Amino acid sequence: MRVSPYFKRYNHYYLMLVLPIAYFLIFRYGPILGNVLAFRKYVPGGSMYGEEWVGLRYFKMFWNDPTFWAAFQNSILLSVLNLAITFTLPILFALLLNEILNKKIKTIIQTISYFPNFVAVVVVVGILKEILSPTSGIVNSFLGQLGIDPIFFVNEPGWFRTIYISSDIWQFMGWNAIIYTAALASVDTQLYEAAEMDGAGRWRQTLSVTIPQILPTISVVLIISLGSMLALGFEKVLLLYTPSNSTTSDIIDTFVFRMGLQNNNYSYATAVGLFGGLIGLMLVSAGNYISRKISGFSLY
Amino acid sequence: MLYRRSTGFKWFMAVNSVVMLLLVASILVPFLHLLSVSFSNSSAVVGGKVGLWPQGFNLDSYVRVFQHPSILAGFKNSIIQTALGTAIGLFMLTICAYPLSKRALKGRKLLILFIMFTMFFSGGLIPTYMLVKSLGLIDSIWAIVLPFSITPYYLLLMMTYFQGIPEEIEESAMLDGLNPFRILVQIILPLSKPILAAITLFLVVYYWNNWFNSMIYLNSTDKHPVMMIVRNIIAGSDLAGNVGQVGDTGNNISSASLKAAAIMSTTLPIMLIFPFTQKYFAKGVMLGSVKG
Repeated sequence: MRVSPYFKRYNHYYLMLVLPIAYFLIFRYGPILGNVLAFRKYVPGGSMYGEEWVGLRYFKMFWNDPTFWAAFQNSILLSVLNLAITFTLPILFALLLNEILNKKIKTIIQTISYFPNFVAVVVVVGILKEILSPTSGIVNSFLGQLGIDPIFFVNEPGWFRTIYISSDIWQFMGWNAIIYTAALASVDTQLYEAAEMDGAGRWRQTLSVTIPQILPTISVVLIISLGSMLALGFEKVLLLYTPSNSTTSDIIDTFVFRMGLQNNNYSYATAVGLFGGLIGLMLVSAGNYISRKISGFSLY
Repeated sequence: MLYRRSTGFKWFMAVNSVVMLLLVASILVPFLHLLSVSFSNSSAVVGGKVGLWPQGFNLDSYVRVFQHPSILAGFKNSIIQTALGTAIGLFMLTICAYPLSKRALKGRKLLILFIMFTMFFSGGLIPTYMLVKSLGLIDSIWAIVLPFSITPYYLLLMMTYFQGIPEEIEESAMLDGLNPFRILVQIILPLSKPILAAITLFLVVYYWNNWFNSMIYLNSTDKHPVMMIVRNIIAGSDLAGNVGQVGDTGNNISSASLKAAAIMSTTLPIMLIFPFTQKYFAKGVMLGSVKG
């Protein structure tokens, strides 16, 4: 049999892809198909795809469940607040860092700023619980000196969002700024010199040169973050979650976790998870569509 | 430059320096505070007297943490999970990214779409759990290292890097009769050290820091990684809960010191390697942003 020259040259590449394709089929598409469980009744010990069609029963169940809607609302509110803040601050930080003239100091600041990105979420929550502790925490002992009674921050529903967002800033601002710092470093210095000739001060240069130059980077990051907006730091929320702060800290993901893995209502939890996943998919497509219309740039 | 002489600019620089200083302090202070709490004696900690310097320096809480019956096993499990997870991840990412970086490969676009789709829509927590369960992987290390072995984002980074290597290098090797497997191992990988270093570090940190998958998939506590044990200590359901007994034996350790010591002893490995490896981390992001 004659083997085509194309195949003779490329067959090894297809051979390499066998394992990865098997991986994607089993471990990525398996669970995607597994979402049919949302429409099927699960019997303990039975198939992961359920045993019997029940239509939209589980969707109707969560649709009429006020705890779900509370979690849904918390998810949306926390995501929007978090996106607005954690998207803007890294840009600001990168711009300010860019003004530090001493190269060595600049590198040191940048390196320290992104270290927290590599700290385990267990550790971040551990640190939060320690410094915010009502008995031995440094924050409360400071407040005590000002004559303020200890606040049990991690148990107060009113403090949850502040704690979540500020620790996100602490952990990710430096890391998320790297991409802007790289973009700023590649701006042609001749542009600044030209602006300088025209009498532009530093502020004017930032507005007319720097920002337009990094705008493409900003828009890419914006689409990606819009798409993953609902993907909150589930593990952090779970670690911070207590029954007493649940009125603000229960989000879709923790709801799914509780319903599915703690109460073993697998089909019900799958239905809620699928609903969240579809909203996420819609957000990505919307972000992508808007970006393509406005800037001509899209992810796909 | 002219503007640098203006008073407004000098003011800006002064304010900016203060802002940067505060920022660096806000990142370091929590660590320094916890470090000094972990070394301080109980009365100073409970009295809220510990700031950034240990009061009544002692190592008791570290001794106590390392006396925990499962902490050493936890470190061992973490090391095994991290090593195996990183090795499998690197292998799978390489054999997936390399063929896909060949622009002439038929079906390449379709395959990339097939993979990238999973970046935007995933099975979700419960279906993934059900899959791992029905594959019989519950309570096995494979449940930790297999399901997440190819992260589409890292795959993109690697593909972009491989595409940047000139084709001519491979052409001549191919004429010499080397097959793509040997070209990959002997030519491409040695040229790809920066991206391999960056991705190795990302994977090491991911597996070292992971606790959630161990919590849901590993029932036997003797298989738990150290992060899981630290999480239990912090939650107060372990060790710190029986501090009373510690007091009885004559030691004087506060639960805050214990938690701080537990936190510090698991973060230290990352803190120690960070200064030497940070340039690869940053490079990893930069390499990914080249195409964007």
